[in-house]
Amino acid sequence: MAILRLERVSKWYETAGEPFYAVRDVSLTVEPGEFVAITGPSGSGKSTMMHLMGLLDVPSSGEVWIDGVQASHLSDRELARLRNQKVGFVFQSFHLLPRTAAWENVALPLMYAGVRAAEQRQRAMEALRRVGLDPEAKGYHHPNQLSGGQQQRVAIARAIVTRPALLLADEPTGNLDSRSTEEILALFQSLNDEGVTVVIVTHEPYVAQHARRVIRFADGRIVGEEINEHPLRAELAEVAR
Amino acid sequence: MNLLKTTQTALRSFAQNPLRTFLTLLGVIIGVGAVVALMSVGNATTASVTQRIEGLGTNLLVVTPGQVTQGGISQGLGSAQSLTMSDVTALQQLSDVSAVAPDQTTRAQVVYGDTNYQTTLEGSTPDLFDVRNLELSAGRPFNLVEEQNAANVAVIGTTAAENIFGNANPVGRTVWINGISFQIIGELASQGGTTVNDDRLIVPLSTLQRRFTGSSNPSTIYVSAVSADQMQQAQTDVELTLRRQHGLSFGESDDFVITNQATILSTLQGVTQALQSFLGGIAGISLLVGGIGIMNIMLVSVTERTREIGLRKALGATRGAILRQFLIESGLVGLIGGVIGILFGWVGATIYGRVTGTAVTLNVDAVWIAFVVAVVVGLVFGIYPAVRASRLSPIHALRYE
Ligand SMILES: Nc1ncnc2c1ncn2[C@@H]1O[C@H](COP(=O)(O)OP(=O)(O)OP(=O)(O)O)[C@@H](O)[C@H]1O
Ligand SMILES: [Mg+2]
Repeated sequence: MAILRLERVSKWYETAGEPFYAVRDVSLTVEPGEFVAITGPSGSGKSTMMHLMGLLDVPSSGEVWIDGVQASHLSDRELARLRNQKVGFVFQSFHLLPRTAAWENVALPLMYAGVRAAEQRQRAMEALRRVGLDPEAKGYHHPNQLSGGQQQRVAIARAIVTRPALLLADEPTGNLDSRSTEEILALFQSLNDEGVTVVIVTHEPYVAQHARRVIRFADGRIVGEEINEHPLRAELAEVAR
Repeated sequence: MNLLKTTQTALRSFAQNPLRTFLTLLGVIIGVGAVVALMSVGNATTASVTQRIEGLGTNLLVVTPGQVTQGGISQGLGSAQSLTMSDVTALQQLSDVSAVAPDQTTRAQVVYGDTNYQTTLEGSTPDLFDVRNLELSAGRPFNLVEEQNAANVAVIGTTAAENIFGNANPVGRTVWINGISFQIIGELASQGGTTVNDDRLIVPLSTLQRRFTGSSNPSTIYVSAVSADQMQQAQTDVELTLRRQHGLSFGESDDFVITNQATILSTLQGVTQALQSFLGGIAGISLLVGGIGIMNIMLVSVTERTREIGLRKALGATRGAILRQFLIESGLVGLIGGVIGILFGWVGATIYGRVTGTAVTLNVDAVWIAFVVAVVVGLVFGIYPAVRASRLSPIHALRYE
């Protein structure tokens, strides 16, 4: 069964009386374990699309299924639960809570999942280790005491802490230098190796070359799709702290 | 999502904005502080006034002239000259009356050496000292012989004594009152409470009437019943006797007023109750203003933290979880503000007590009522901002810069 299915999904905004289509009539299926990149020019609707996939936004028309569950049938409560359990989000600007320790940022989804406090800490520390951060050294740092690359890794740890099947990332390397970009891509690839489905939104061709499947977006529509038989493999050359 | 964690989150958000938190708390602190201080001081004042009135003596009846109506125009209470010395004699015959003291007052100029002092001059019979429970700290009261002979002797109150003689013992000294020499034979013990009761000289009634007022009508008659049990009977007898004395026929209203301690107390209670609810109203308004302050700041906080709210929703927070988070924050403002307010109110009431010399005790009812109201105000005024926060759409919140 597909982990993600969109059927004739549209999203439009009412501007000056005329509807403006940010996403127009998109149908798409993502199978478990896939690594997908969505590319396209600025304003083409990539972010909107990702929000629809992650149930952050409600389509104006069409249907979204996550892991076989039809989203339009769900209450606010059930949607929140599905986001919490099935989807992990990574954003371009990290979106970490300021003045809050790294491990507490990571533990946030667990809090909403109703996990006991002691277990929250232990699992948050585990997730930090998984993304290559030493929990003892960096777990108690506040976001402003971490580099951009480290902050994004904390954000990824937060996205995977509930062990979701689907990871959605919107320009995750947009604010990072080339070395950090490499590290983050390597991390996504190794998570994908473990079976996590990854969808990355990016406008950088170099980043898209790391995905097996690349979907091209323009004016809210899918205008092309190709399979990369030999995706680039990001190297975890040096382990940065 | 546990309460402890949410409370921690709320406390952290306070710590991140100390000034804003303080300003939000201030409204609640002032409101609660005002309630606690005003109620405590109000209670203490009522208690001390009650005590003073009870100090008048439980057996005391006070008879004053009623109001005269001339051509349909009321002249006000006490305007009549309706009480006479023969009324006094008649009242003395009553079996349930133990003592009767007619009383008159005037203002007079007391001269001693270079000192010139304006005070109240009160004239009465020796019975006054029994009827009014007047204790002497030095010397003696005047006696029946001095009263009959209109002797120029006086008993002085502590305030008057201090103002005229300073710290010197007034007993045995001679003063000039309106140009007539008087010997001070005794000093009253302090009456406590207002200084009005201590700022006077008491002379025999006959002396006052002959040398100062020229009128033989007492302005007040103090009557002491034989016992507290017979107060009611005594009051009825006094009323009937005076009606007969004044030749009032059936259906005519009294031309005098009889007051007893119970009526004074109930009047006082009415006044303090009105005062308390007035003060309570003011305190309530300040709590309301505090609540509006909470709402205002919480709305700002929701706007400022739009991104945080969106993120929490993306990570799986339900509307209920966001609602709870903000409600707990505003409830905590009420709770913390309430506790600090109670402390301030208590300190304020204690300082008031020290300055005025009243025994102020913390009004426990006011404390917990103010506390509960503060928390409720926090929660109630937090509802609207919390609902706003919980309704934010996650993407609107995440796109917000
Ligand atoms: N609330 C809204 N009201 C009106 N138009 C909107 C709204 N949100 C997004 N849009 C429009 O939808 C279009 C798609 O926006 P989107 O953010 O998805 O683009 P994008 O492909 O992610 O661009 P970028 O690469 O710059 O991030 C844009 O033209 C944008 O102006
Ligand atoms: Mg975008």
